Amino acid sequence: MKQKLERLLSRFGARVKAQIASNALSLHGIDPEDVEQEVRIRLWKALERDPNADFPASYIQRVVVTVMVDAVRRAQVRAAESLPESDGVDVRHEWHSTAPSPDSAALERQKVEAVAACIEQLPARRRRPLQLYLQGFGLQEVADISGLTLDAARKLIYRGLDEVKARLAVMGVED
Amino acid sequence: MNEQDIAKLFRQHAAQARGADDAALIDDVCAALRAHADPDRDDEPLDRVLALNEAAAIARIVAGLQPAITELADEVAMLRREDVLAAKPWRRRMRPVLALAAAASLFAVAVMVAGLNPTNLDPAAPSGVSHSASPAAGKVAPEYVISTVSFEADGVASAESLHSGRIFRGDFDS
Repeated sequence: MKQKLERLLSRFGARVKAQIASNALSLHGIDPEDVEQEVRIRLWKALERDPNADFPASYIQRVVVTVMVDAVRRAQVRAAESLPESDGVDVRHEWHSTAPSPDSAALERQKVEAVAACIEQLPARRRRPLQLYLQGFGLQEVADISGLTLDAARKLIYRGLDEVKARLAVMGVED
Repeated sequence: MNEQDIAKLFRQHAAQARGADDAALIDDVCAALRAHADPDRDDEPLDRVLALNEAAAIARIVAGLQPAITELADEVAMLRREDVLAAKPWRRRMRPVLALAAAASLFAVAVMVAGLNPTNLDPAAPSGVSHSASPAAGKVAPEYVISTVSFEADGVASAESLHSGRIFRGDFDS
């Protein structure tokens, strides 16, 4: 029984790792190996704690989400920690050369606010599929989460995009 | 402005947003992924998830893992069932024997009941209960008959036939 469970959890852990790697969550500073291990350990402990309890899909889903939120938080803490002293190399010059000018930073901020405002003004039926799409969800995933057919999801996304572009043009926001 | 530019700017906006505490974030991601099956869903958790890049990224990964999650839950449940059955082998082995014993008991009871049936007894012996055999039953209008069962045996004469309906035979004039 224990060996079979361990095999199942190992296989599931490998799928968690692959999914994280394919979705580039590493951009947020998350190590897929860490998440895989943590998911396996937490599920194993839950099984050991209560061998007769139900182990529904919603519970497993919650464990995975919790582990990933924890991993994101740990990555944020690591990023906020001060960098080690460099060995005599002056990094200030590089920092100054890559930083945007105040003018371009302000312009960028205006664009960000304008795009967010235009999306926010869309009707909810069109806004949510568009937001999902802009956050990197595939068409099928958008359709599944929004409870739409694939065709309906595609139409709503592109109509939403067209509307946002038109509003941005009226506002005079360009590339 | 093209699609990529809009996506980049939208994500920049979502990167600046501040989320609620972790527990609320976990609840929102789970609710957002669960809600699509429900026609009366609450879309607010999904709105909050989409407003935060990290939450959206986590939701995307978990959405992709959904088939694997369902499969694992099913496999663990199956393993549990096998474990429960393995823990009680004697009951599993004894099941056909118990069924056979129950069937044999029922058969024995049926044989005993058949053996006690009055039709198998001596015809001369009075039977315990007779149906519609009572002479009185024929004299009463059917709508007033409560039961047609008489507890008098067939072979026992009724009071009416023995005494011609008279209970007292004395003479008060003498």
